[in-house]
Amino acid sequence: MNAMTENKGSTLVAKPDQVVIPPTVAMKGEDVSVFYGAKQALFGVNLEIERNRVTSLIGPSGCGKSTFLRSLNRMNDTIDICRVTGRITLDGEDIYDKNLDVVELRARVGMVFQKPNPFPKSIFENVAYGPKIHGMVSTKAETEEIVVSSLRKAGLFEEVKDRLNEPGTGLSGGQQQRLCIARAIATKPEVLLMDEPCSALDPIATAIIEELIDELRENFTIVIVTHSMQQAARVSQKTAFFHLGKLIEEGVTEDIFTNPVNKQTQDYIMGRIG
Amino acid sequence: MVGYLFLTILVFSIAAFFVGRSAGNRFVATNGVSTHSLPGYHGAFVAVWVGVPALVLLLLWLMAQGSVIDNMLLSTLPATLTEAASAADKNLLLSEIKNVAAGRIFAEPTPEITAAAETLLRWQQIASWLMVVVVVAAMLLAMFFAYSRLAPRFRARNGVEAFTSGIMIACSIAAILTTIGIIASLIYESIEFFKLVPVHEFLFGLRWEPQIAIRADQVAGNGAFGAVPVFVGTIVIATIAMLVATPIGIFTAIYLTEYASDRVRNIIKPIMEILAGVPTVVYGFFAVLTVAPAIRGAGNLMGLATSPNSAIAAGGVMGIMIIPFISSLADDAIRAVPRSMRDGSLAMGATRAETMTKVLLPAALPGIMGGILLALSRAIGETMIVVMAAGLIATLNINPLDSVTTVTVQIVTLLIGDTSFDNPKTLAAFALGLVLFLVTLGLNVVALTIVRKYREQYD
Ligand SMILES: Nc1ncnc2c1ncn2[C@@H]1O[C@H](COP(=O)(O)OP(=O)(O)OP(=O)(O)O)[C@@H](O)[C@H]1O
Ligand SMILES: [Mg+2]
Repeated sequence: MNAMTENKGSTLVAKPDQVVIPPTVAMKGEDVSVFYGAKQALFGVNLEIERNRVTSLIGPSGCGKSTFLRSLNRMNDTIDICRVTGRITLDGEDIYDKNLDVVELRARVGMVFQKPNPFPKSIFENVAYGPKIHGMVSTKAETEEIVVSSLRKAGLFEEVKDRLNEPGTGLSGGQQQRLCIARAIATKPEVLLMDEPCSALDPIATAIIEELIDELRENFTIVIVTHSMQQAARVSQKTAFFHLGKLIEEGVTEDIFTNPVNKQTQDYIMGRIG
Repeated sequence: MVGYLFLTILVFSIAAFFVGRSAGNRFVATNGVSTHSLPGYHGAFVAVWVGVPALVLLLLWLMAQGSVIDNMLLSTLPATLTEAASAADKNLLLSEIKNVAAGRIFAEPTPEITAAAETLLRWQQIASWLMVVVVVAAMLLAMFFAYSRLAPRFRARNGVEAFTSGIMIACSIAAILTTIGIIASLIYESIEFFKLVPVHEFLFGLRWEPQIAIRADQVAGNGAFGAVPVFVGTIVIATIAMLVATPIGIFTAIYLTEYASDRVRNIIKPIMEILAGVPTVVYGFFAVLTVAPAIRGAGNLMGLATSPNSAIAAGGVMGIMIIPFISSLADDAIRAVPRSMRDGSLAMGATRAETMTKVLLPAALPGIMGGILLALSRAIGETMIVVMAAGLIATLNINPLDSVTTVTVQIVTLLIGDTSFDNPKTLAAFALGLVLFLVTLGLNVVALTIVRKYREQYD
């Protein structure tokens, strides 16, 4: 996979004179507008999500970051009054197509929520949930293997290996969030959407998850919403700045943070709006 | 007279309110915002002081007046009449005097009685005027006292607050005392019963034939008070009811929370509420006149011997009656599962049915269990439907097509007709009632504990 080799020298450190192989596009939004009833929350957003990169969405509260994120795996469908126009593709396929199976889409585009939301089941069952409902496993051994490897990837296995049968709700906040990440990656999604995954966590747990995101990039395409500029700068290769429902500026993270083209972006990054 | 007095108290209180409020208005006009309480509170404070003590006084007076006059009257009667009289005789004497005083003369009264009747009338006259004077004086005194306390910095608001909480405490104490009274009478009468019929015979006996002779001239059996057939009948009917209500109730709740559109929900919910509001007597004749014959017809078609008042008819209709209990509690329980659980599951690519069975129902299970137990205790205590649709004869069987009887039906039949409260037939009703009370109390406690425990999980 050429994207993998390309990843080794991430864009963050790529010198302008280096030959950069153009990354492939995993998801693409074209002229995406979202309405909640009569209220328009997103205005004609065009954004490409590149494979095996971390794309961060930043912007002041209420600007539509979560809305955009949720339209990428059609979680907006669960809100009765929500309507999406424009075109969003996954590997070139329109995900709002009538014939597309939403359930399958969500298996391919996983999601981690702002607040950890483990199911009131055991740690093991939490992680095994996705693989079981998607028929990815048929024997207990297979299930165990996938649970252990997901927990390992989420950096949680060592902490919970002795209590896999205890309820997931009994973990600390940071552990719960990593459990949710393990749960999401157990179904082997192509894209992982994360909506402020660290907002409920302390700096240590945040550092663990940021490290994790960096590792996960090898196998997944990640979109992360964050309110922390430092976090966006640390974990992402691409950054998109939203304001009042519009995509104001997008580009290589380093460029956005050191050399924003747009005045609003500049103001936001300097902490003058938001 | 008394009616007018109540009216007077009301009028005085209202007048006191306005007097107090105008004082309050004056304070506000002169002192502005540094006045402690709003004028209305000053008014309410005076009104409460005028109205409540007078009311209490009046009620106490009315309670005491009768017996005080009676005693005074007895002491005026010539010693020949009262000397050797027992309490019952004295009562007879008093009621004769009262009858004469009220003009209900059946036989020519003796001169002593006539004289006493006149005295009674006179005293009653005096007492009621005295009562008016005392009550009005109390109101004026209270008015003076309360009004004199009003001042710009007077905490009328806190006074009214204290009074309000006092009223609320009084109300809740009334409810508690009533409950205690009911329990005490149940226990007392049951103990009387168990003196006549041993506890073990009642709890474990297999024959229930309570129709014994109450008067010497009646012809009846010797009676047997083994309640097992009655308990079994209750269990059969309650089981049938739960078998009907549980699945329907839970599926209704699932449909309403997860699948129904707002429009459909807005139609179904009120209908469920109507179901909950139908008087049980209506369910009763629905069971007798519609369901029971239909079941009998169906049974006959299939060649099954079906009793005209089959357990399945009564139980089935009772089940329909308790559907709203289960569905509304299950609905609450499913809704109480945080939205994030549902979203988490859907975002994993689960279908709505998978989300429901694998995440929402397990999480809501304690709440749903609580609902089922509450419905069960309702089913066990339900009376009207079974009185109308279930049988009377206590036969020990569990065939749903046969007729069975329940605890509540037996309580009703034991207590109608000729009754006297010192024989086992009547007292048995209290023993049954006690068992019923303990069982439903137990179920409610368990149910509420489960529901509460589960609420804590998410909040
Ligand atoms: N379920 C909803 N119903 C109606 N309006 C909504 C709903 N969800 C979001 N909105 C509106 O859409 C706009 C964008 O909301 P969104 O949640 O996408 O913001 P956000 O950028 O994620 O904000 P935050 O940083 O605070 O999470 C807001 O104005 C919000 O009020
Ligand atoms: Mg958001």
